[in-house]
Amino acid sequence: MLTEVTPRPRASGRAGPLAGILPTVLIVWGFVGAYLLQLSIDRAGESRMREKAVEEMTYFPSGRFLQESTIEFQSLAADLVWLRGIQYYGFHLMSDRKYEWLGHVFDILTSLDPRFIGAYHFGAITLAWDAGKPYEAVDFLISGMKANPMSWQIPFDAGFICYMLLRDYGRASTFFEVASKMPGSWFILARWAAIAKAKSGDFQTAREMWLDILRNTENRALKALVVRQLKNLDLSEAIDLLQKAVHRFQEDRQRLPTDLRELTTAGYIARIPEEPFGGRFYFKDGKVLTTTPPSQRE
Amino acid sequence: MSSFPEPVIGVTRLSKVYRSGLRMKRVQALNDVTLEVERGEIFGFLGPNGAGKTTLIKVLMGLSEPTSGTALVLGRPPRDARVKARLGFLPESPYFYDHLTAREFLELAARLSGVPKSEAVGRVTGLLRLLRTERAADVQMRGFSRGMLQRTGIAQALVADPELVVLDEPMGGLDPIGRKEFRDIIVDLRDRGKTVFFSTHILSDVEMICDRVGIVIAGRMVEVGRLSEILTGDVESVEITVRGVTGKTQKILERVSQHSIKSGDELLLTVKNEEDVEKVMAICREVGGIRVVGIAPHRRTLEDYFMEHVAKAGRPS
Amino acid sequence: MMGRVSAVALNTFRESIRDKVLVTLIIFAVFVMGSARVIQPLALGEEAKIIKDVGLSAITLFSVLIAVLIGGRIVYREVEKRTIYIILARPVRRWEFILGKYLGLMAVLVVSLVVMTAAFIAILFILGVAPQLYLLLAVLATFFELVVLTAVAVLFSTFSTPITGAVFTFAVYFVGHLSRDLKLLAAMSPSPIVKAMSYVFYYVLPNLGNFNIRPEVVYGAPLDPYALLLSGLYALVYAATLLLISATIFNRREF
Repeated sequence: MLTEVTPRPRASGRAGPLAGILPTVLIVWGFVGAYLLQLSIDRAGESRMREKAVEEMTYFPSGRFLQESTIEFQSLAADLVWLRGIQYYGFHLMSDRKYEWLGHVFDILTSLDPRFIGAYHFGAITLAWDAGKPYEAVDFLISGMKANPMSWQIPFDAGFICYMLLRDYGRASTFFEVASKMPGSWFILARWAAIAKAKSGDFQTAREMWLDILRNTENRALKALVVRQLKNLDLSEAIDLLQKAVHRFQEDRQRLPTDLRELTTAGYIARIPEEPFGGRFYFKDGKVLTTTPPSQRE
Repeated sequence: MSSFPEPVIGVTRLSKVYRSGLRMKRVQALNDVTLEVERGEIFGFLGPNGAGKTTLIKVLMGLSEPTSGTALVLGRPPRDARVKARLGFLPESPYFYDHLTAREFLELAARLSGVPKSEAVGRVTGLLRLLRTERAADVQMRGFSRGMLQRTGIAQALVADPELVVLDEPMGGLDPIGRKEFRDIIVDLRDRGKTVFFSTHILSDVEMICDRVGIVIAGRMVEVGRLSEILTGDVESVEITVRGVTGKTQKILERVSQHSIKSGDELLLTVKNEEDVEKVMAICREVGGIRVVGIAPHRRTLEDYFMEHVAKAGRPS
Repeated sequence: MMGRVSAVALNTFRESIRDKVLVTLIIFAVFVMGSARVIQPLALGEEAKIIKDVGLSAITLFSVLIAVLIGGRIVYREVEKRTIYIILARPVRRWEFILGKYLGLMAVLVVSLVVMTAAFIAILFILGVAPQLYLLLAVLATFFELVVLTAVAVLFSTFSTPITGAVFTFAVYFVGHLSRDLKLLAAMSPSPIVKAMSYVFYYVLPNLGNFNIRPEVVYGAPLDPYALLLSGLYALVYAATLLLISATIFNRREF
């Protein structure tokens, strides 16, 4: 028979398994399951992830194609590429120091957004020093100069690389001069143009150039790179100092010192300089060497 | 109302409130509706458009939830699958899958209703024949006329051989022949022991075939009962047609009548009851020279009844 | 139960397979694949890889479009045309209806995938590139992606109009592919809110990057079968959860 009326009865309608608390529980479990699976997937693919991120960008082998297909979203695409590039760089910095795809990444990046001067800056410096491809770096910068004719930063970087790595002082000087004429350039650039012309490859100038770069960038990765290079510079300077002392010793006493301490006891140097990477200097076969292996100096 | 056997449809104090529009305006579609449908009867659910008929049917079919009150179909809540297996439903202005033929559609309907495959094909063929759509059975329903759609609709409602058949405005858009066919089908269903519940705004359909009637106006149930009880057969008024009446006589006659119309030579008088008929007859005999052409008693029809209730509902209570 | 689900699925399949939108999209896909030759001049000598990549990308993109455009209408259409009344008045459970719709749509997508892949392989042969079995793995991964995306489309279809649903599904598609990058970006941000939000996006929204194995396949790099298996499982779990949500929403709906 008809039942008594109760306000808002639940009995009539939503019968069946989907009415109660069960579906909510199952749904929560579902998301938990998906979460756990995602963690497993990430773990399984971890080593491949960063490679993948950059390889994905190589669908479109030329930056130009990518540019044409992302018309509306170029700067967004550029941001994504930048992001992935930094990740790629950072990962390889910590591991194998191999930067196979780096040049490609920056090529795409600058094709997408040719005004992205920071990309030229970071890209060229890492290409030159970390990836060991200074010629590529300079070519890259030249294309950057074409796209950004009023930029002083780009020709400066080109000059810097020519001076430091390629020891091509003439070209360095030309680049510095070009840079010094652009609006917003550092006033010291004119000075550097002159120094480069004078072919002085001395440590102090190099140190000052690195310090200028360090002071004028916000990019943490770049700062770290500069610090490393400064240490390298200190190392080279220390070795140079020691080597010169050895040479003077040899000239005076017609023999090589037995070890470096003899230099101090004999008064050719005040003390043995500190090894910037924490290693120790030693003397072997007429050469001053350090215990720090080259890979750790990069 | 008898309590045995259990009513096929039992609605108790059912209300349905919709909130519509951006301002969530409250619309009371059904208000405290109570009715019962007995087994084996044809129940006509009558009301003007917008009275809430389709709303109630949606609740009975489990398509909509009541705001308060209860509805039981075959003794169970409408969403119970066991109930649905035993009823057939034809919605208002039905539309079916264009890409299917009538046969394919009915076979789909049979499958979904749980008719075993072995029986389904036979039943579908039988239904197609019954509804005279055999010729169009294997043509895509895309081009079906309204009549064909309705007939296919009733076929799909019957494919599971249901105990209860619910039809929402089944005669809508049909020509007189189609309507007669449908009435015959409904009566035939009742004769075979099924219960039929159908909603309509057409009075004559209800008068002709329903055992019981429920009248709903503006969401409220105003009357439920046997037609014979609602229409007691009382004489509401009598119409007398007379000829050859002069001006003076006409005035006398008009005083006795409720209403009069002069048309050419004839005078049509409406009087309240048989007593007043006697009065008129007496006057005519006295005056002489008047011919009584016709006497027609007017019994209260469903229409009178209906219009009365509509007027009552319209008046502020 | 299965009888009812398969009846709904079959009906959905029949209805959708005749949809003109479907045929148009497949033709477009084949056209794009065929025009891979045009892209060659930009490629600097990597023709084979480009053709493979354009082909696989076209298959993926157009299948996604099919899932979005047809899936978006799949429930709405029945409600709008009121064919749903005669379905739900029958002893069909609401969840059976949703599942049937989903399976019907997946069947349509499988057929589309097969057609497009066949065309792709034919085009490869014509252009003189040797197709490898390896490429089919990319199609499999796309299938997994569709398992998830179709569930998303069905979910939106239970409560929104086709256009809104299509927009939302597309939005999920984009965010689903970017969520990994968002996570990387957020890791560099100092704000804990940003980090938290990016984690929510990554883990709650479907991570469609899981199914992007095109680089490995196209460049012939080694594929981790375990990761692919896990991704397939992820797709199933995620889709099942979404369907459960859809069924729950649909269960409470009034008509």
